[in-house]
Amino acid sequence: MLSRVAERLFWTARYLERAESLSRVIKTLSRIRMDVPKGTELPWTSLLTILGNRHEYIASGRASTETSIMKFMISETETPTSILFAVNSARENARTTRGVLPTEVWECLNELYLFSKDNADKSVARKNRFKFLNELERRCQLLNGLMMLIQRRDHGYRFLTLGHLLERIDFSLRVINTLSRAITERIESNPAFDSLIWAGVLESLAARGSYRRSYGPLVEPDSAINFLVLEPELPRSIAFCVKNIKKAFRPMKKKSVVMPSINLLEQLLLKFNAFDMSEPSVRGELERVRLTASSISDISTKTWFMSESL
Amino acid sequence: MKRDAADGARAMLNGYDSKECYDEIITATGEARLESSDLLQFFSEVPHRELLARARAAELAIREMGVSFSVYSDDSEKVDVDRNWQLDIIPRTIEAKVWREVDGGLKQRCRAINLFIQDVYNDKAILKDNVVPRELVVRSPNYIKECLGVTPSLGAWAHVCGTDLVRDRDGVFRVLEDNLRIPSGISYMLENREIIKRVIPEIFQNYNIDPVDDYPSQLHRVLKSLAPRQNPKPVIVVLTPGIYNSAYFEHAFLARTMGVELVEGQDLFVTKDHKVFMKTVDGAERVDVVYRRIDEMFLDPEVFRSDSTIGVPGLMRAWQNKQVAIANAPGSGVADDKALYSFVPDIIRYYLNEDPKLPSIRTYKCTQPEELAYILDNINDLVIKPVNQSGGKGLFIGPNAEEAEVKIYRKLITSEPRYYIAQPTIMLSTSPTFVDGLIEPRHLDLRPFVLTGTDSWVTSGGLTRVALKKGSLVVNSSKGGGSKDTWIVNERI
Repeated sequence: MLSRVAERLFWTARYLERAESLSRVIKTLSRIRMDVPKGTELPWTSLLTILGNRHEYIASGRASTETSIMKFMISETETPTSILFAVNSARENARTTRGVLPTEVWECLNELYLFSKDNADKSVARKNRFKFLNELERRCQLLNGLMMLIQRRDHGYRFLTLGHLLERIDFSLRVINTLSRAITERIESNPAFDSLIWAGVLESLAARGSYRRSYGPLVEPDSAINFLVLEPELPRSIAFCVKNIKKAFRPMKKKSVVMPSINLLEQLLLKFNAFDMSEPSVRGELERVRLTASSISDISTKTWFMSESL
Repeated sequence: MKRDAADGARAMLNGYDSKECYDEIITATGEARLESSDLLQFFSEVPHRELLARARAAELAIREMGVSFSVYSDDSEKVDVDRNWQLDIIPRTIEAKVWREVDGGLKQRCRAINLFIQDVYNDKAILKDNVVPRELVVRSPNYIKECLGVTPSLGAWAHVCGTDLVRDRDGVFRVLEDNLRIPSGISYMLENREIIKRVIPEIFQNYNIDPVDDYPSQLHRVLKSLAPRQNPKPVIVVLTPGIYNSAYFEHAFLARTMGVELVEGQDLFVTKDHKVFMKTVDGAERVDVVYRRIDEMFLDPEVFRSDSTIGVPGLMRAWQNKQVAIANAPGSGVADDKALYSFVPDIIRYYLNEDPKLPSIRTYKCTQPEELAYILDNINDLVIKPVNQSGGKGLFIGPNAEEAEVKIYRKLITSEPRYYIAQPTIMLSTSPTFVDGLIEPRHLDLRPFVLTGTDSWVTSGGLTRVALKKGSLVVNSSKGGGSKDTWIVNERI
């Protein structure tokens, strides 16, 4: 597998995962705002905080209204954190790897791109937003399913997997941390609705049904966080992602360079328990996990994507 | 009111008029040619709205399959990397019997051309015997001194040749030009067939048509045979300039269908002992054969343009030292110089001692005073071509030219005679084409591909390019031309 191709597959997967995650979190916040009484809802700008570009957005003088932020996150091609940008980037990366991607996967991704390009603009308003986001997620899942079913289990597949998992860890932890802070820092806090909001967070990570079966229907913040971070059988939990990252690296030469980071991740998870910790230290620990995971991405770039030596 | 649903298409065909030139499907008396009768019947019976629906389905298939051809616009830096490929839904037919003869002519031509290239870089016998003027060859910008004394694997230079053919008023196939450097179009030819099979599956049932999909395996066979190292599984790569090249789609297509890596210059490096490697996640891997789709001038910054960022430093010395095979071999372009075109019949006689099987087109050389005088007198009836351009760039078509353009070209050919040739305007053959909701004649040409290793192999048919503008003779895809699926039709068994 060419290093350059491996790198582009990695980014194809990251951007695909990002498009789907963005869609999920937009839907969640839109829904929470409909469920929770005025004054206790989460601000639209929390979305910007998740993506880490709230300051730039506000500095650029744009309005913090629903429409303006939705436009920023869904349909702007110049915004590196919009859905349309993520889909375009996934396709651009895949386009230069068409030699190794199965035709069906390429065509499916190309159709996703055409669909998003044609519809993103008209899907900013609430009326079409959900329909668009649902269809987008369905198409992303179709693609992931296709890859799972027909992609050869070679290095290409491994780098696709790593892209998915590392993006997933990063995005999930940003969502958990940002929303947990937003909930506690609300001016008009009302604990009665916290459970609703956490239920939304679970939903945004496709974990609500699973949570109910483990803990019952009432969502409680600490157990929700524990579930999302530690549950070994939940495909979007951090523990699950770490386990599979380790597995993907196993057949690779030079895997020893990432092992210290993976071991550190495992240790961090081992001693993590939201019940025993204060809220700020939960967020602190999760941020450590997130940064360790992103160091794996950096190490991979240096080790496998730019290899030149014999 | 009840209307015959087929009225539309039939009425259109009734008004079909292409008497000025040879039509591939309909004779001068308005009958269908034998090999196209079922095809014509199908299209004359299809209701108009159905035709439109099929054309839309073809467009959609092209869009979804991502078959694209990038077009560089003349007036800006902007590149549309996503222009969808243009395919007409009415196939073009050629009788198998006629095609077999063309096939033989193409093989003969490529055999001679390969012998010529080998000769001019080594013994130079043809120059010593004054069959081809020495100046014409050694002064050509495509004559590369780094190739002198080199004999590539199997003595073959132009492994992939795209020869443009036209059909004159009498239906005779003539060679318009040879493309020996990095000819493109094969992937579009193959995808055209795929799309037509998807969109109009029913017209195949009455026909016995040559399949076209064996090209990737044939190309792979030829490339494999070039590997300098004894290795049962040589490593073959397709070298592309990258996504902004107009034929990027094709490069990816060929890599995928041959099952080899698609590499960019940055993926390869050459060691001090002239071995070529590619950078993989498992470390460096030795490369045996490079099917390069990069123009020579950008191939190796150590030898050619030093500002090339898409090339591979050291690739030329690796090739000279026989550590790697390059297809087409550098320097092959010396034989597709348009000034040399008129000598190809002599080249065939010289090396093969045979008469050329495929006729060419009368060519006037601006370097000969009496021919230049003729060109200047008859400039409005002639086509003038720069000798070193591809993709229809710098083409002058006398009958369609504005007065200002004529003036410019008069000046160009007198001041730089070496760089231009002239040919009579050939009324390219036509074929019924569905454009803007109407079936009308449009001019077309044909680009078959010839592969040369130990022997030669020719595609069944080729890529038919069609000028979509009424009356236009410019078929180049980069100038807004379209294409057609090309059928070599066998007699019914």
